[in-house]
Amino acid sequence: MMKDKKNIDDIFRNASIAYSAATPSNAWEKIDAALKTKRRRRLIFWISFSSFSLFLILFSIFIFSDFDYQIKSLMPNNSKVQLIEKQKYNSRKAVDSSTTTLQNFEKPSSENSLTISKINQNSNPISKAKKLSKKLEIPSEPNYNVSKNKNQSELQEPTSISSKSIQNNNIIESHRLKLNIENAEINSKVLVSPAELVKADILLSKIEDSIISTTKIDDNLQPNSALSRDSIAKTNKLKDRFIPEFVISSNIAFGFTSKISQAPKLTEFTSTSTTNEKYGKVPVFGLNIGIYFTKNLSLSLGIQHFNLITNGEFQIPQNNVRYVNVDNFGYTTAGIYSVQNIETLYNTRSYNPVDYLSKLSKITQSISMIEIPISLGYHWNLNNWKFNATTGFSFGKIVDNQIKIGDEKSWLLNGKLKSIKTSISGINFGGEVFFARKKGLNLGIKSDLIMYLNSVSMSSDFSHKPFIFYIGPQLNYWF
Amino acid sequence: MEDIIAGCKKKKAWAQAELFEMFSDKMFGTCLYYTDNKEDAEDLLHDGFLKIFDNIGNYSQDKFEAWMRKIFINIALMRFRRMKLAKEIDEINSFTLSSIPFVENTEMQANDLIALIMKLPTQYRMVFNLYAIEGYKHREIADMLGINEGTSKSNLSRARQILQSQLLVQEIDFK
Repeated sequence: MMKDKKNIDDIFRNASIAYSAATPSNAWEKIDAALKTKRRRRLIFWISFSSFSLFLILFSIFIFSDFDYQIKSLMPNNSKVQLIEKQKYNSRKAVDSSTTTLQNFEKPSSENSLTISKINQNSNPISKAKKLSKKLEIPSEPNYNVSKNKNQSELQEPTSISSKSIQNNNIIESHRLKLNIENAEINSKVLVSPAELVKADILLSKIEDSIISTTKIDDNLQPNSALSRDSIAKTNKLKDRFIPEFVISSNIAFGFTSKISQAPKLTEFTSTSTTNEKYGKVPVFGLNIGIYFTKNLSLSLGIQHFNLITNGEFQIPQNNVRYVNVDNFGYTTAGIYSVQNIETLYNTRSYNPVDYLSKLSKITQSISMIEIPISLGYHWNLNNWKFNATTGFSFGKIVDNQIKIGDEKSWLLNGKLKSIKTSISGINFGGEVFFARKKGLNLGIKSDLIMYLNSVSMSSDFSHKPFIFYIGPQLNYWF
Repeated sequence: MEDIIAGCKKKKAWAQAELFEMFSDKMFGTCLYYTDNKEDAEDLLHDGFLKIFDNIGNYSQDKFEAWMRKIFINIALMRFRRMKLAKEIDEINSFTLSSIPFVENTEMQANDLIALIMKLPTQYRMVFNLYAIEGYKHREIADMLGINEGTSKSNLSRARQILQSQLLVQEIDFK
């Protein structure tokens, strides 16, 4: 018995080893078509991926380079504040030290008195300061030397700081200091104190240094100096340009779609049924979040729901009713099913395929799809209206897929299709128009054209790449 | 042959066509005795070659034909598991010996023997092919088909019985 079993195995093994059968004539054509489709999909994927990557890179470069420039342009403002604070601190220090000198001073010399009179003769504070500085270079008395040296050392820091100072506000500060000097001069007549002179000298030196250094920096930075009027205007413009605006939009719309036929391929080997679908209706509901990050550019991310409803006519050739190839419906690749299996697969209530032979039957298909659009926009204002042109990528997911063939009394097919291909992607081109109110609610109009790069159909026999166009009102909330 | 494989690895259309030309008949034969009809075998051939062209970059073995054959068997197994999941394999209970049509010829050719395998119930056919033709053990077959080892053994025994009876009816001396 065992030997018989082994013999059976051997017989069939030997038969199978040598066995070959002639392949159907169209087998290679089918494989070749599938390979071409795969190549095309791969190409589309890489083009989409490359485009999206390029878009991200360019976008990143744009954003980061501009923000870097913005930070640089704002840098002097920060240093300005620090410098003014430091100047004030040093001025106070200088005054304190001159007070110390005053305490050490016992009797004013004739030279100092002469200096005071010279100051009083000269009304220009800068020239006074220059003269005072020259005077201070030649010491006359030990006490004065001490105070002068001390004050010179005090002067070093403000001088070095003021050489870095580059802001126009320094000039205002200088004027304020000039007034202080003038007051000091008036007071000096009364006090006749060299300490007062030292104090005045310090202040005038500060003014001089500040003005000189400001002039120097201005020269260095021109013509793009942040201090010049142009550059300040430019900075302000940049600031204005980079204030991002956020908007949340919701839209309802109505549009149409191309043919999306997924009609079953009723077949006996190679023959197919015929389907004639018309353009479909597309009610749309969408929610969008946008950021207007420059004066003209915007980026938006959204979520939209499409219901693609197509109607048409369906015909089964009279001589080809034996099999239904459910591959067209996707999900199962079990291959050829007999017509009877439709009932269990598609919840058919009642049908008689013979009734459908060579007759035109109604076919209705409804695809429910969630889509995520990512778009870059260019917008401009015109007479209180804002226009925004957008383009980007759309990624769709089919969440429901219903098909009906026949009429209500006798459906040939009536049920939900499970698709193999539930994800599709495409390119969108859109436009928005709305009243250019900056904040709060406003109304607009939105339209979009989405061209899908792959087909929603299950079979290469129905390889339509659908497009969707819609237009409708949009409610925007600007933050 | 190496040029063709290298071409297929580079996704060259001419190489893919050449490869199909070389092996299609042999592989279609394999597909036939893993299915019960020509249409399913065509589908298997289609899917198998697509998978081969997709995965040929991973091929590094010496025996190319054996590698191809393994891919076809794997696809047949996947289809079997899917059908089993969809409860489409229910013909075992209703199967009787009389279900096998008599072969008219007294002198059996390979075609006729393959036709006998094709007529076996799906699960019997899978077990018989994997054990008798491919040389797998029962434990391996049980893992591959998602059945018990005992079921594999009984399926094989039943398949042999059916084939033996059919051969005896045809009075074929298979010694």
